[in-house]
Amino acid sequence: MSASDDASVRVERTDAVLILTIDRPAARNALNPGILERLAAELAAADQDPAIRAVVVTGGPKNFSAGADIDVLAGHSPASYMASPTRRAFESIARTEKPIVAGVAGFCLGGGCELALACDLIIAADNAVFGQPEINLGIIPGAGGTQLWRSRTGSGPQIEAALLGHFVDAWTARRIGLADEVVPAERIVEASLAKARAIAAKAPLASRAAKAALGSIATMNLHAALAHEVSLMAGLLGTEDAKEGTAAFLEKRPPQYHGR
Amino acid sequence: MTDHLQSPGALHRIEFSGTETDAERLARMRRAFREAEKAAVLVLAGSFDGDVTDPEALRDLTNLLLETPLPVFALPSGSVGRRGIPLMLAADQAVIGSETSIDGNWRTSPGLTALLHHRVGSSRARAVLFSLATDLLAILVENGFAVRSKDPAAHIRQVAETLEEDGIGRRIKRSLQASTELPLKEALAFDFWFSHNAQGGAP
Repeated sequence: MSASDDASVRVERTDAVLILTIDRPAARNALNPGILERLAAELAAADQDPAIRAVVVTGGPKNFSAGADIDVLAGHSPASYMASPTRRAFESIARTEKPIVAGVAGFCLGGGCELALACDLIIAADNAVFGQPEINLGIIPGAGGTQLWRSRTGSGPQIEAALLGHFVDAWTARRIGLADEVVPAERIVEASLAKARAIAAKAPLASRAAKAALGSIATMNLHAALAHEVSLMAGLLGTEDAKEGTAAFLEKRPPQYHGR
Repeated sequence: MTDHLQSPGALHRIEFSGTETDAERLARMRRAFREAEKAAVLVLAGSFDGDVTDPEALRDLTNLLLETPLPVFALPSGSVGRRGIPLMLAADQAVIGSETSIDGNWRTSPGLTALLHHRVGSSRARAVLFSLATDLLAILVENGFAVRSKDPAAHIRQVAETLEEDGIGRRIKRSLQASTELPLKEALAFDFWFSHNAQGGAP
């Protein structure tokens, strides 16, 4: 495992998985522009690195993120918020092409919740608390918190979160589909890593294509999304990985994918 | 108030006052939970008597007890009233002495049906709620939720000692919560993660 640290984000590599750990415990991992820009930069670099096949974003076993720095938020004008690096960073994170697993423990609120929702799978620790409390500050979520719950939970929990700012514990999160698995808090990193490793063991081009196909429903109607899926599938048929996958299946051996 | 077992703070004991309102009790319990961060077990003792003064506060207090990640024992002394019943049933076990009794019509206690359903199961809850029996404590003892003891405090100290080592009490409580909240296979997976020490693989 290799590691580098900077600006409250720890960056580690283990095999084909990149682990990004928000590390600002004194502020319950509140997101400042530096953290978001670093996350965005690391994810953009991961997209360009063929050795990385999946990513874990976590805050460790205590807190994922209690949200955005309130003083940073309060310092914005309408114009400066629209052009803020924070906003650009969220957009960049959401555009990441490689699969991301969020390992969520403790507070996962506001911008922290929106960050988790920008990931593909959410592993929740049993101490996790999700919520969009922005309404209590006289504002609303600004990075997807009024939109991104819906595809996972349906409209009821989305509306409760946005209009009432109610918190959702890990068990409820699992029940409503906000979280995909619940694990003991002290195992959140291992569990997220296990999930990311399982993804990384699949054919990387297919994983990327699957993520693109899954995401297309947010920007296309169903007809277009289905057509997009067909084109992505057709493209994969020409890859070495697809040939290896089918050959390994027929030869009853584990496949060896190289992302070609 | 903290009782000392093998290590300081192993048993965190909260004494309910018969004169406090439900809201005051809730506020005191929230503070107590923060103080009990390293305790092995939580003991609720003192007065469980009286009627409900604030249903919302009593509901929040009941939820707080259900969510707490450490074993909770109810040690009611004297009579248990309508507001004491949900608190007793939100505990993991009640330990009752010879002088403990139920006061009034326990069937009208808020939260009783849901808690009883979860504590003794659907069929037994129906048997209890629709039976002619009037002694709820006897029924709870019969169903394994409550234990009679000549010295309830000593009994709980002994149990706490067995739950202190390696944090096993907290682990059991968290797995019980997972079993309540998750489908069987997900609850099993949750529990197996406790036995998984090395970083990396799945349970």
